Amino acid sequence: MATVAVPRRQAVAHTQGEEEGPQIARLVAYIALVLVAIIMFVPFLWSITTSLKTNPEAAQFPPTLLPRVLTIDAYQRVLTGAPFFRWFANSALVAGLVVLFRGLFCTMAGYAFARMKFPGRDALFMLVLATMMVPATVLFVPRYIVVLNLGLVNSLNAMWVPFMVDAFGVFLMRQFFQSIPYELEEAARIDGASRIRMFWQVIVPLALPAVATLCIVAFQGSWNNFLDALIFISGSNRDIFTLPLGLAQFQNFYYTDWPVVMAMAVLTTIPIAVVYLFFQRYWVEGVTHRGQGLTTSRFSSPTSVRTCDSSSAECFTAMSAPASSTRAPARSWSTSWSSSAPGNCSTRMWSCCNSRTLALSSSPRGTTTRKTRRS
Amino acid sequence: MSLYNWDLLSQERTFRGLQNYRLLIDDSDFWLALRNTVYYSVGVVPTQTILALLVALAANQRIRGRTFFRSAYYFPSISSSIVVALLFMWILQGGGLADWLLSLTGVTPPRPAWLSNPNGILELLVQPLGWSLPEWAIGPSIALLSVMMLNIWSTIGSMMIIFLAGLQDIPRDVYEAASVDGANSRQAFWSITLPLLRPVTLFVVIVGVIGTFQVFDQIWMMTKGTAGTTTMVYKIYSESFGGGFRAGSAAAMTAVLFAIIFVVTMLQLRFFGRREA
Repeated sequence: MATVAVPRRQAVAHTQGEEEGPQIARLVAYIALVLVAIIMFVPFLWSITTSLKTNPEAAQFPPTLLPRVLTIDAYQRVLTGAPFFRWFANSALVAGLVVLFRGLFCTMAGYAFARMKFPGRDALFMLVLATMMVPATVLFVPRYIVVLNLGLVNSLNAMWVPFMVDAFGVFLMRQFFQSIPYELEEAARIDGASRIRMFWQVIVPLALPAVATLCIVAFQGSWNNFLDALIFISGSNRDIFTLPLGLAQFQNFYYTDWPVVMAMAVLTTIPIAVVYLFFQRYWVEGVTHRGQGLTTSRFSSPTSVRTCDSSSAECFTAMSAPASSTRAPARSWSTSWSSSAPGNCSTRMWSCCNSRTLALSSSPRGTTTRKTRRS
Repeated sequence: MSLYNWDLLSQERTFRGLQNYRLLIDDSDFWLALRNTVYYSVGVVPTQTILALLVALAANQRIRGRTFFRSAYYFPSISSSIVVALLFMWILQGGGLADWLLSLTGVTPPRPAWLSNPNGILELLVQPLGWSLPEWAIGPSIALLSVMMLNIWSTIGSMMIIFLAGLQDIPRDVYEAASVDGANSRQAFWSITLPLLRPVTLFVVIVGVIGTFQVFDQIWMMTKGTAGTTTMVYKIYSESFGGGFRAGSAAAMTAVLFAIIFVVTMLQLRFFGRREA
């Protein structure tokens, strides 16, 4: 695939994306972009300036744009008034466990679904896919009952145990593994590697870009998970709160003290911002160094990625995360699309699952949809 | 679940058949929540889709700092919904930044302030004409509109990125062929870009609809369902965990909501997905 993929990427570099519009049009576009960027940033900037003000100054009308008296008093009060680091540690622990287990289980399950033959495999995979059709957010009542029966309510375990596996992850990894040439595995087997060894030493290293996507999805979903925190652990001691829940509860106590609330909001946002920046770079590396051919040619035809989101909001933001991070992945996804879309996914799979998946699988070429529909 | 009567806490649950569903029909709050959710979806989805497309078109030009813009726009999408809700609560507070900016342009800020204002937007629009509207036609409340603005703001980034990927997938040859045939850029947009983007647009719209039908965090944080902002998921929450303790009824609503999402998605596929074939 690598040989095919590279020229394609170059070709894409000259697509309409790089079109040289007339000067005026570009100027207008530029101004619009700057304006939108300002709108996107103002709330964040406003929270930072507010957090550096004194409470009386923050309450003034008209508001002062920059703090007249610069103070970090609000941050100090966050750290004394709330177990911020405790909440931070809880969130980090939970997110870490979710990332770890989801990375492990989804990778293994994806591999099994892609490469191992066992009776009932396709039916089982269909079942996994079917769970993706149901928006996860909506199902919090049944989820609560399961967690209740597991005896996890009011414990931090409720925040990671139910989220160790998800259908989207399995789906993503399966798609990815299907794109890895069989020859690699055959070569490893001829060299005498056992299946487990082959998995860890050949397959997983190749799959790292996909695993990274999976991990970003998992991390973001867990770090920002509010609804589940609210129903599972809000009734207990606040020492086991996660950050979003802590922040919400904190605001209830300090609702007139906006500098403190904003300071807390800023502190909560910093970790995810750092991860975001970090993974952007990781992504570039992942794409350029490691499986360049693989990622560009076949990696998770947007098909797979897009399907995910049919369901939960969590999934939704996540799915576009990797594409956003750098130019390269966004492109690689789109390139991948034409070369891999219909052939890559077994026709049976597509025809069986309901047509939402079908539509989402439709590529910009439009042909995928038609083909799969008829099949 | 939806066939039982259960309070989530006790061991006891009694079977009551379709009773929960029958009660829903008479529950005016349920219909209100449904109506608000529809307002929300109808208001947010087209707006965010069109804005995201425009931004994607702008960002698709060869412009310095494209990567920066892309990352910047996406940032609200990765932030916690609670953080984002707090930022907007602070901005939309009475006497807050939004009021101040409005007063600079000479417009009177809404009273009561944004998030506690239950007045319907349509009602406010026809008031100067001396008309009055029946209760069901007053439109989404100012408070709900505020939450909708927040939602649009926070999702444009991710939608834009999907559009960008779609735009870059359109081969340049098509545009070249068009310009050889003498098409100007507007014609190229309407007869090349838009049609070829259709599957992407369909995807963005479906995702948007599903997302808006599930809105919860922002409502919980910003208004607790007051001032005409109760939506379906919020209603399900308040029916079960938020004090109602009627799990059976909440499960019935869940089933109804799921059915609605399913049917709406199917309809979209049928009407917009097939035409390209």
